[in-house]
Amino acid sequence: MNKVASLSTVINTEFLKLRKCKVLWCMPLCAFLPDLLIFSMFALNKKFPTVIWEAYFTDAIMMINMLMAIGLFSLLAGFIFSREYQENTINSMFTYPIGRIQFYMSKLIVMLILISITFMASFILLVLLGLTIKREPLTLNILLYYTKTYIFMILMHFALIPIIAFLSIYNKSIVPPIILGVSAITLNLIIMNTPFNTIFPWSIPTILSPHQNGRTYTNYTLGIIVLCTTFIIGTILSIKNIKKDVH
Amino acid sequence: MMACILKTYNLTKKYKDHKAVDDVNITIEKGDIYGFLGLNGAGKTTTMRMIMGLIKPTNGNIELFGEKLSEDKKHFFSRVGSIIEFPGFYENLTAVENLDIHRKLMGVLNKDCIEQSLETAGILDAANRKTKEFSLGMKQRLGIARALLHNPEFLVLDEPTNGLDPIGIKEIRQLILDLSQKRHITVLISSHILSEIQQLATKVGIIHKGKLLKEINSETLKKKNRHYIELKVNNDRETVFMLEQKLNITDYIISEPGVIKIYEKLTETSNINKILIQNNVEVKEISLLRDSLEDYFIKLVGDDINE
Repeated sequence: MNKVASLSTVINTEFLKLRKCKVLWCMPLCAFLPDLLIFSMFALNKKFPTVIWEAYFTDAIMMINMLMAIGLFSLLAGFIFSREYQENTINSMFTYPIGRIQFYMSKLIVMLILISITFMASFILLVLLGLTIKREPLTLNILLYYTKTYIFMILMHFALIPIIAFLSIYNKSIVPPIILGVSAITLNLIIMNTPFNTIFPWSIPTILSPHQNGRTYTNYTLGIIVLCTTFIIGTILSIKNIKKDVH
Repeated sequence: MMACILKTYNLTKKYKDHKAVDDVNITIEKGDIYGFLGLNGAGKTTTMRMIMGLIKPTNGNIELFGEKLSEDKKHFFSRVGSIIEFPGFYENLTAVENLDIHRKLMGVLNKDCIEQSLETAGILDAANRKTKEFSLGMKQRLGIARALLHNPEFLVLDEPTNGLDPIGIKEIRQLILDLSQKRHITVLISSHILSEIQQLATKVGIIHKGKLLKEINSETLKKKNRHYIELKVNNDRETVFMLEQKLNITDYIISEPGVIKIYEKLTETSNINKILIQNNVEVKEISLLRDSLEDYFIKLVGDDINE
């Protein structure tokens, strides 16, 4: 009698499935491109003769939150959740002695790990690059504050994943998540400076993280409630749809 | 009594007003090679999908290894290998990597089974090639390797020879026979190709428009596979009289007016012909033929097709 696979085994196989996948280029792109742009700005532009850590981090964080992470994680999550349908592996995946929800949870955990790796790599590179040029002293307080910020960003972006997962599962295609990602980035730019910025889930990571032209009051509670609701609704819809018949 | 591997009770799948599968009762016993025969769209794949838990029946139950199948009871599937429709693979990975994922998810600890199953399916040469480079036939073979990897007791194969060349079809047929005879694996195989089922199955279920029209066991199947002499004559009654009186032939049927099938004295074609002519029976045609499942299948579903 064969052993029933544990959740960790299923997560491990989800990582194996991603080996040599070109879509993984999203991660270094999201992690390093903002860092390199911000670094080159501070290194080359005479308007910024010294690295002021607050400005340096804030610029990078804004670029990640507003432009890179939403689109690239939509693409990555769209791929992970829709590929089983698109590559017709769903027929074998759902005939394993493993529940469908366990597969969903594994994919979600894989996304959390990938987002964490991306943001942590981005943070480390940003710090290291900053240390190579003329800078103000990097205190432990600054380091801890931005570590916490990046961890919070991981959670906020992760909260947006179940909605992407639902779209992928419902449509059995990567196209709707891409459309959603592009639309969210565009709407983000419009909504960011309106009172609705803590209601629109995709602008919340920017609003609740350090950002330029910040307003005097940010409704953190509303932002967190909206993100949690998005996560819960996305999860419920995904689970409901993953249980549907596979044709 | 033979152990029952699969039993379905009034299995039904309804899509709006259309019944894709209608009250299907299948019984597969240990060691059977159950041929599931039907035209395209007859309901074979839908039935197999319900058996493998991919779609929920609208009505009815499925019993696998003597236990009722339900959403929370998926442990049975570690004892089942399957190919449902066209087998899909992670195209960025090699054949071995794909099978390794399957091995882990099936909870098989021994890694040697990967090489063994690739060898059994005749695809060991391509073990380290990415599956995106595979032809349709190679993917089908890899699907078979995957279905066999965890040493299942029951194989569910939905048209497994799709995309294979004639030699490949023959090899897979032989493989299925070997698995059944040497490893005592029970097989449910669907096809719309009658000859394929006829050469493999010990039991055949004919499905048409969602309904299981007939289940034929191996004994009946053998009978449906008999050789006979077909006589086309101008007068049935007179011919039959001559056959009985002059040639002592009793195992015959009048299949249609003017056509008689004789199931004995198959080597005496010329003698039969001679005697009938000597007795003034006009023989239009005489030939040695073989009953086939195809005739039976067409007879069963033919009226519907012609309508």
